[in-house]
Amino acid sequence: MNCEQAQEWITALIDNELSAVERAAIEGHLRDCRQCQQTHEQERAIKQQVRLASASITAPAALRQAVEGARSRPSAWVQARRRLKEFLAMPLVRPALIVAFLLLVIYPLMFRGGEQRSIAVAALSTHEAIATGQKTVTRVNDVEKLKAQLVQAVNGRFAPMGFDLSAMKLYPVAGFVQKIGGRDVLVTVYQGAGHVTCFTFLGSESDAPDDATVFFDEVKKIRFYSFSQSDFHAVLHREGELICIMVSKMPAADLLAMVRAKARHS
Amino acid sequence: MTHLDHLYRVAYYLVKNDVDAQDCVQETCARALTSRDQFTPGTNMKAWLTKILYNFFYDFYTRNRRTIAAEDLSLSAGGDFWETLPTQSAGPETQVSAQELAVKVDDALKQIPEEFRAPIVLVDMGDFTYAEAAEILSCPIGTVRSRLSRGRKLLHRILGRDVL
Repeated sequence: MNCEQAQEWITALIDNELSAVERAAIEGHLRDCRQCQQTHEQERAIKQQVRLASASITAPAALRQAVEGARSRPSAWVQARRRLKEFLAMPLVRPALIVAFLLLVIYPLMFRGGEQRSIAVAALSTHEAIATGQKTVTRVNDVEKLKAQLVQAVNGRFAPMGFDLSAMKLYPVAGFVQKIGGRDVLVTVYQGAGHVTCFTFLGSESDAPDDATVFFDEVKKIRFYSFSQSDFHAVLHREGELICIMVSKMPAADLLAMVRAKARHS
Repeated sequence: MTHLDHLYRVAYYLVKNDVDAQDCVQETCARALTSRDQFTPGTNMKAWLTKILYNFFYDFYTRNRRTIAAEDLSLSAGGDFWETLPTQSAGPETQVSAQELAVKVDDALKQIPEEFRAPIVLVDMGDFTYAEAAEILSCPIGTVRSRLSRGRKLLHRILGRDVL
C-alpha cells in the first residue's frame, strides 16, 4: 500500500468502517509512514472538532414550538373528518339532511310530470296572453317561410304541426319559439274566425296534465287529452315523438272534434 | 421530537443559514407526517427523516442550482479550489479557545462545497454509517468515503493548526 492509496483507508479507519483485514493493513502502513500518521492524527482531530462545533447547535425554540404544534395538529383529512362528524352530531342536522335529500333526489323522481305539466299550463297561459293582446306577435304573410324559420330555430330537429284549419276560417298568421321547462316549443298562431294556438314540441303523453280527460279514438288509435284553465281549453295528442297542444277559447268539445279531425296516426 | 436537533443541525450546515434551515426542518416534518405510512416500524427513523430532509434540500438545490453554483464558483475562482483556501500560521497569536474554534469550524464547514460538506455533516455530526449516508445521499459507499476524505482535508487546509 502506498500513501495515496492509504488516504481513504485512513478516513475509513477513523470512522470504524474497515474490516479486520483492512484495518490490519492500514495500521501496518501507519506504523511505517510518519506522513500518513500525521494525516491520520489531523483527520481524527478534524472529526472531533466538527463534532464539538456541531454539538452546540440545537433547534431554536421557535422551530421546536412550530414542529410540536404541527405534530399535535391532526392532518387536514383527519380534521375534515372530525368536523364532519361533529356537524352530523348536531341536533336536527341529520333530519334536515334527510329532508334535503328527499327534496333534491326523491321529489323530482316522484313528480317528473311537474315540469311537463308546466308546459301544458304554459301553453294555456301563452294562448290567453296572445288572444287578449297581452302578448304581441309579428304577423307574417309567407306561411312556408314562417315554417322554415321555426324549423331552423330548433336546428331542424322537428317542425310545427302544419294543420290546415282554413275550413274553419283560421289561418296561420305568426309563429315563434318558446322555451318552456328547458324544452323548445314551436308556437303557431292561427287567427281568423277565432283564435287557436298550436304548440309543438318533442315529448310524450306524460306531458299531459294528470287531471286531463282522456279520449281514445279507436279508428286513429290516438289518445287525446283535454284540459282547461279559466275560459280556455286545450287538447294534447301525440304524433310519433311530437306532442301537439291546441289551445282555444272555443268549447272544449268543438276543439276536441277539430283536433281529432286533423290528427294523423303516427 | 427526538431528532429535531439533529435535523436542524444537518439542515443548518446544508443551507448555511438559520432561516432556511428552519424552513427545511418544518417542511421535513410536514412531509414525514404526510408519508408516515411509508415508514417501516423498527427501521432507522433518524435516517428516514434525514433522507426526507436531504431530498427536500436537493430539490431546492436543483431549483436554485444557478445561485448556489455561482456561490461555490466564487470559492474556486482562479483555479483549483485547494489553492484558494486560506492557510493558518502556527504562531501563538493563532491559538484559539474552544469557543472560538467552534466558530472557525462552523465557518470552515460553510466554505467547502456541498458535495464534501454533506458526507461530513451526516457521518461526523449525524453518526451515520457510510451505508446509511450513501442511502441518504443516493450515492455509492465508496463515494461517501472519498468525499469524506477530501472534505476533511479541505477543512484541515482552512483551519490549519488550530485543530491540532
